[in-house]
Amino acid sequence: MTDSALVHDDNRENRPHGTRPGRQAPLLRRQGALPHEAGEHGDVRPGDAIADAGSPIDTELSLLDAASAVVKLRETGDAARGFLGLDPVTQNDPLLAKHLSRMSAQVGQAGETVVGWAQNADQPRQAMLATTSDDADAVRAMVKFLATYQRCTSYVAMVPAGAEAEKAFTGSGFREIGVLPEHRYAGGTYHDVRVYFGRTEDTCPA
Amino acid sequence: MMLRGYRSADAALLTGPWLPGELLGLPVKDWPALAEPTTIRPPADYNEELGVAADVGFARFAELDWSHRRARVEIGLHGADQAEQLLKTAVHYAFTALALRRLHGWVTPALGEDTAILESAGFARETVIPDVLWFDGRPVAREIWGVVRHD
Repeated sequence: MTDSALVHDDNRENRPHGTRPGRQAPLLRRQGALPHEAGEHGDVRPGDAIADAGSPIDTELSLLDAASAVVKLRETGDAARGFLGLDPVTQNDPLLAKHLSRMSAQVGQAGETVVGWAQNADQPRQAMLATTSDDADAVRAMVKFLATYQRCTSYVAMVPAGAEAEKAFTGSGFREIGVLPEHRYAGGTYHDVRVYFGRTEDTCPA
Repeated sequence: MMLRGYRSADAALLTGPWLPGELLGLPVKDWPALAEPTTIRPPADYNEELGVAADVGFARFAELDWSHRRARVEIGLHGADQAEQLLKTAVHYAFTALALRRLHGWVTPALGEDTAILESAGFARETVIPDVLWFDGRPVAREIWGVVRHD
């Protein structure tokens, strides 16, 4: 995905796989661009530990273009530190946009929470996730979107130790699988990063 | 062993039967005859550094982050005999010449490589991430190994 694709996100490449024109997606609304349309698998339920954990998902997910994503992350401030490895407190807007583009990352908003994901280029059924709050429903909405429209089956999150986002992932069915010691620097010292992992069922098994 | 900067004459060292991004990039046994070998691109920007051990292999420092002083490291060798020396040289180069504080890298257990080499270079296993790489017709787990310089 290029910078222009992120900014002009109404092009074909930026449309979730498996979608087609016609209907409004139930969990998806785009800000600042054309709306995504529902796919033929829009009513598929992942039926997995993550999506079924806790209460039903009533959080609506909106996709943000690159410029809006950077603005939202900057407004979020400290809670966005470590978001997909970014740091809006110390990195300027062009650098944030460059890193998002380099990762082919997509940023969205679920309620007041900014969420983001980047698919694993070596295994496209897996995505790296990030969130800026302790809202587990925002993570569930993101996972359900990825399971339904991107056919992802596994998810990894690398969260700064002690961040609010840890509660969001543990509350939505993720489990901690390891710690990266002193992986990030902030506030004059080095901090651990915890790794979380979750799965959903394959929405379209072979 | 010393690492030096990349020259165009080193291009042949950058292609081989390794998994992409593998910390212990030794030639994979039974590499499929029709599979494309992995090719490392020459360094293109400040986010990566490539050290070459002449006629032996390379050590690549990718995802370099100068704020967090860390990098993901991978090596590539055409033979296994100098792996330990290259790895130790790479760690020393990163902690001294590049002034990094932490190195980490991917290790694929499905390859069955001996990880004692990693431990002797100071690395420790930090996590195992399932299904992170498509290999041999299925998703396989990969471990993250890391080393931190405490000074």
